[in-house]
Amino acid sequence: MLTIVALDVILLVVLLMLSIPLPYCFGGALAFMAIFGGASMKSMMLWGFNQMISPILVASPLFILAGTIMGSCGIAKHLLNFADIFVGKIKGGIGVVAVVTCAIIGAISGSGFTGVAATGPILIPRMVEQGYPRGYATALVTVSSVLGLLIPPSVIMIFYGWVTDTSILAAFLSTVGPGVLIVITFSIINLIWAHKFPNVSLGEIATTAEIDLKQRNMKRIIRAIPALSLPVIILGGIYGGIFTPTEAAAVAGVVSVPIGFWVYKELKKEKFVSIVNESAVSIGAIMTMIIFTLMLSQTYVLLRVPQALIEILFNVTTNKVILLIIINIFLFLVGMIVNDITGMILVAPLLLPLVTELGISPVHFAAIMGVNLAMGGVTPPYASILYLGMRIGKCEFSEILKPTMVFLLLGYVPIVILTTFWPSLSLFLPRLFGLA
Amino acid sequence: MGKFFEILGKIQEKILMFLTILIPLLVTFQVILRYVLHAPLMGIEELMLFPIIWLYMLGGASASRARNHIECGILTLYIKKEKSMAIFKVVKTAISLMISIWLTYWAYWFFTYSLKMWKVSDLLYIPMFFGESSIFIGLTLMTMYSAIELYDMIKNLLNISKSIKEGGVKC
Amino acid sequence: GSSKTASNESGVKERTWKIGHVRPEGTSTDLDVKAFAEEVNKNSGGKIKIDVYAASQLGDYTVVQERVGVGDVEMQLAPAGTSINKAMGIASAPYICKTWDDVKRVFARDGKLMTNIDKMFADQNIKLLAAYPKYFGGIALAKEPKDPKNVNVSKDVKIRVPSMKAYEKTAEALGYIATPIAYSEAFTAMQTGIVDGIIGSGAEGYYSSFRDLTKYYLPVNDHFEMWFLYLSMDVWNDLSDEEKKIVMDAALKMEENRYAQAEAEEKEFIEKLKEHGVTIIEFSKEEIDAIANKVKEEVWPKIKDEYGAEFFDSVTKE
Ligand code: NA
Ligand code: NA
Repeated sequence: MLTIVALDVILLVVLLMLSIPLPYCFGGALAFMAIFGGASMKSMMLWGFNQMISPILVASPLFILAGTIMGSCGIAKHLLNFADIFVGKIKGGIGVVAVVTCAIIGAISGSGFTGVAATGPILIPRMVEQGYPRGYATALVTVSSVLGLLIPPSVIMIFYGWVTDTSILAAFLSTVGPGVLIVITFSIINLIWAHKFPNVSLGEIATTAEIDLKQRNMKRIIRAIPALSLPVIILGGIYGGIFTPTEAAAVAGVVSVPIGFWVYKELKKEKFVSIVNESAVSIGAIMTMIIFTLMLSQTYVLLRVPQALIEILFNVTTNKVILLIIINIFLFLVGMIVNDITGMILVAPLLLPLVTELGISPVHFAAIMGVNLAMGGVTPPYASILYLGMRIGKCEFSEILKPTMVFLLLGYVPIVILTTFWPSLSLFLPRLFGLA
Repeated sequence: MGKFFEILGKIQEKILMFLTILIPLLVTFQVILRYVLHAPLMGIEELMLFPIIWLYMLGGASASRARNHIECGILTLYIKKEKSMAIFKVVKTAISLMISIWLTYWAYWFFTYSLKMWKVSDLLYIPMFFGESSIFIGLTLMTMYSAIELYDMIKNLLNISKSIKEGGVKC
Repeated sequence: GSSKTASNESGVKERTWKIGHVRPEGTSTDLDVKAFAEEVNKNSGGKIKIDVYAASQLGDYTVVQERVGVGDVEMQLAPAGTSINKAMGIASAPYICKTWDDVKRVFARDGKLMTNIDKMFADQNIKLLAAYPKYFGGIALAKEPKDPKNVNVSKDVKIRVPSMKAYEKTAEALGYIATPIAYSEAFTAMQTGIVDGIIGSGAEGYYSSFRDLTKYYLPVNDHFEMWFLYLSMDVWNDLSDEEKKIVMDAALKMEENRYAQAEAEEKEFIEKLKEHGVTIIEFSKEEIDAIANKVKEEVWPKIKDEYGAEFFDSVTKE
């Protein structure tokens, strides 16, 4: 039985490597399970349909739409200008601006794409202008974009709550601690690294007179208010009992349209139409993939893979530390080959019984899965956020790979380890709110 | 034939546009009804399921049409020769098409099941068939677009082979 | 179906079935199902093996009911799903039972209701094996209700209702603002105050999922939660008479045990809620009667068409 599952996973990896469109990768793996694993397909489409119409799932398309709108309605530009006020004068400051802006955008957006999609087109050229290598600039914006999944609201946490029956709000709060630490580590690495580039300049700030600067800053603050009010509306709305996290995604989209049209005036009718079309295609691409991912994961459940996994792992060792390391490596590998949502849907139900046996609380595990799978977006071969970053930053894989790996290994992986072995980091906030 | 697909594509695009705008507005509308007016409408969630599932499935079909599905894409970075690339694309598209046909077959099973059972929704008594049929129709469109893509890829491969034989293109 | 069957040398088929239920592992329901599976396995000499899938692993119970009808999943223990036939909702119609004695009478095995439910399942290619009385429903609230016993006073409290007419109308008749929220989002909604309460479950359900949010529990017996144990008709028809008897006996044993325990278990969970700091607002028999009468007058006429008015009248007349 497990041989079939192992073969199926290999097949899935092969299909992924062959650049088969993702819905068909999972569809192919599903076909294999149906034909060789004895999983009946008769009611599978019925089951899949009923999973797909879950009101929770609609968070994902709504966040895709909101993210695409936010990317082109001027919100990012004004947030960047705002953050620039505080660190613009420091050598390497623009890098910190990138990280911090991605974190703020993360507080409105539920996905890992929005940060790079919204800030990349403005920030990367500006950084290149100031003497940063193109690959470095792109890598920094791309890895910071992952914060969108760690700073709530976060679509993977909505899914985690859904598939594991855990409080979504608690899951949201669990990754805030790790997220903030990553903002700090990325900023530090960037500040150190910036000094190693020979030609880095400070841009316009260095040549602006102090008095003009004050005036300019005042203007920037005022212009940033609508953008800054968005996270307040979204998070305030969720925690203030006005709307659910899923509804927040719809509200985020609906609110950013008038801001784009009438406040920042960067949204025009034709642009809006193309944004909507673009979003619809992205939504279709993601959701058709999710359907077959769900069905594939159901065939694993039918074959009782979670129970078998527990048995195998506990036969290897019962040492909690070793098992947690194994789980982390496993999640890292999962993140390499599938995207965050897929990984969450596929793996959370498989591993939750195991970690429960280990005495890990579901909320703590939300953070462990969150930090691991969020990283998946930038770890090749399947690195959707990284590829998007490359497209936006107009740079080659070979240019972006090294700086990305440095940020991940020195700035991200340590936080993953910390999250895994220091429960308070993720449980502190949920406990404060009485949720864990 | 080309004209037909063009019109079909346009219709798809228009419907998708409508659905993509409708859904967030409906969700927001319900939030306002509930929070501001204290009078949430029963049945909005149920009503929503129809545009939602059609958005997913027609969106998937549009992604197929635009050849814009998410792919892993690692191997394509290493294929340099034009002809190898053309062969690779034929193989890849053929596999996708096979899988798509298999999935469509099972979606067809569900389509007939849905038609036979003719279930209605709990509150508004809307026939579920109007939602459930989206899976089959979406997958049928996806299969169709995959088939067109395969046809194009084969044509492309033949063209390249021909021009290589004639010595016109270096590879 | 996908039920694996293999003939061994003696010619008796070996079968492996999947049974789904909606409660987490280790709960009394889970243990009951496992005991049933073991009983069947033992009495069939190990020929019938039943794998238990807890916590809705096979899907929402309405979907699993359809999966059993199709034959992909062999068994389920769950409420009656109404996706195919709305009349099945009659099992949880408001105030068709008010007391545990009512339950035994209304759901008597040869009674009008059970005979009809048996038939409705059969129409969906499902063999009904046994009933499984779960609990009386109530209302869990996060804030104190105004004059909770007076149904004619608006409580000005939003409560989450399942997306079904019967619950919507009942909640309104009791003076609450019925707010539709998906069950999967109900916890978050109550946590943040989108709603201040929830109807549709009972002490056990609220204790396991909502105990940290609940401040008041009102055991108003708004509906009775009856679950059913059933098997795919294709599988049933394929069984030998001897096997049928083994399965049926185990099912009846389960039903009997459950009837013996259900009432005590309900009290136990109300007690657990109390220990957890929840204030229980007790209702006397007369107070329940008053509420039931209002629901009968206001709600029944609006919902009985859903179940078939004639059928509904004949059941409630008993
Ligand atoms: Na976020
Ligand atoms: Na990856």
